[in-house]
Amino acid sequence: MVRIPDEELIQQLQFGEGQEVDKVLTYLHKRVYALACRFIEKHKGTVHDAEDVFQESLVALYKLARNGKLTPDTNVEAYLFTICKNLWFKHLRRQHETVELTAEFQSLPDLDSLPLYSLLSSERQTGILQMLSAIGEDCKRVLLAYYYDRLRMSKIAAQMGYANEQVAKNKKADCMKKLKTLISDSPYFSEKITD
Amino acid sequence: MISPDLHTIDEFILGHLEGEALASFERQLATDSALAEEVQQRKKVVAVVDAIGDLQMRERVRKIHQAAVQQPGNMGKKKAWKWVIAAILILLALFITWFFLRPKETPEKLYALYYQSYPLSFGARNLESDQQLAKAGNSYKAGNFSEALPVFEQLLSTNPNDSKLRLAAGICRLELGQYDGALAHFQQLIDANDPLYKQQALWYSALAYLQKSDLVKSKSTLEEIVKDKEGQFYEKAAALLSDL
Repeated sequence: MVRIPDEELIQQLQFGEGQEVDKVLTYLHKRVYALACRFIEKHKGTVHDAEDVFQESLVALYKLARNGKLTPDTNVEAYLFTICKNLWFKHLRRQHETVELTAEFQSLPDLDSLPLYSLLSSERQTGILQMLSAIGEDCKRVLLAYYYDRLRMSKIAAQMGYANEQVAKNKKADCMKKLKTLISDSPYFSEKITD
Repeated sequence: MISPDLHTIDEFILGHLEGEALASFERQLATDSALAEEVQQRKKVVAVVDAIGDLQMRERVRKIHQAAVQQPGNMGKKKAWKWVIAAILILLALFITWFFLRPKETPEKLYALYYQSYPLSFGARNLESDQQLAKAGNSYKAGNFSEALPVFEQLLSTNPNDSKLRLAAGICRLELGQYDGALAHFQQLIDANDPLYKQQALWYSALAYLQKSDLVKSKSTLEEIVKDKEGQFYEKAAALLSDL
């Protein structure tokens, strides 16, 4: 497999769109998954655990990159593996397992401050999806592109086929208002998601 | 002081503000409670969008994972190798099982392969019994065992300890397909422990058992023969043992 330089990986993870990001994630999967799998199996886990934790680690890596937390000198494969180890140790601690946090554990403060919502209970997920369907497909795309994928308004305008950046900004403001109203009308979900 | 527009608030929440723009926003945030309230509310909304994004991203990653493990080259390759190794082991186990349990030559074929009539000669002297014996010996040599057998057994009734006669009678019965009768003669020879005829009796007993498809007794008899490496039938017995 041809090695992709870290700078390129970081660039795509931070600013890439759709398939560009998927290609990088696929590449990283090929490079790191087997290693992560062996590590988790060696530390009281199963292949099924490894699948879960590794997928969660890819989501975390993506979010960290989008939040600008990857520096240009980051070794992306090593960083992903460290995320994976951290998430697994966190899982073990939640299970009250005693783990050695010596050389294997490398603290990632950025990861500690990163909320990961994909492990939400199905009840919370249902609430989120209800809000999602209520705001409509275009709003969902605009809000995700801006707040989650951290795309600039000019790119969002191009993606959505809007005339210019200002149209995109207006659409975003409109969608934000809709979602804000939905949340304030449903404090239950708001609390459940954000507590 | 003019309140920042909503987009600037979002840029602050996302950490996009820098330098003087950030410092100015933070100064205003410290004193403007309405702005602080708006920021808090919008952070809640952003958290919901973040949660939606996580769920969608997780689904994307799940698909990437599925595609990757199904492709040869990642875990798929590892799994494929596991299957190849498993297939090789199964084939090896089947071969070993076949090798040890394969139907080798049938007892009848092995008998035909290993049996040779034992050469015996009986010289004629003047006595009538000697002449009968010589005649039976000639029948034996000519392969006319049905004629030779009654003479040998009649003479045995008066000379029960004549090992040569008993061997001849046993071989005649073996040739005639009378295996139990043959085995009875050979057993008497074995019990008599006559050093000149014991090995022959064991060998032909093993062949008689082979014809009866009693492979257990045939093998145990052959194992008795191969104990004596100097014995006349040692090599044949060893070869037959390996064929059984």
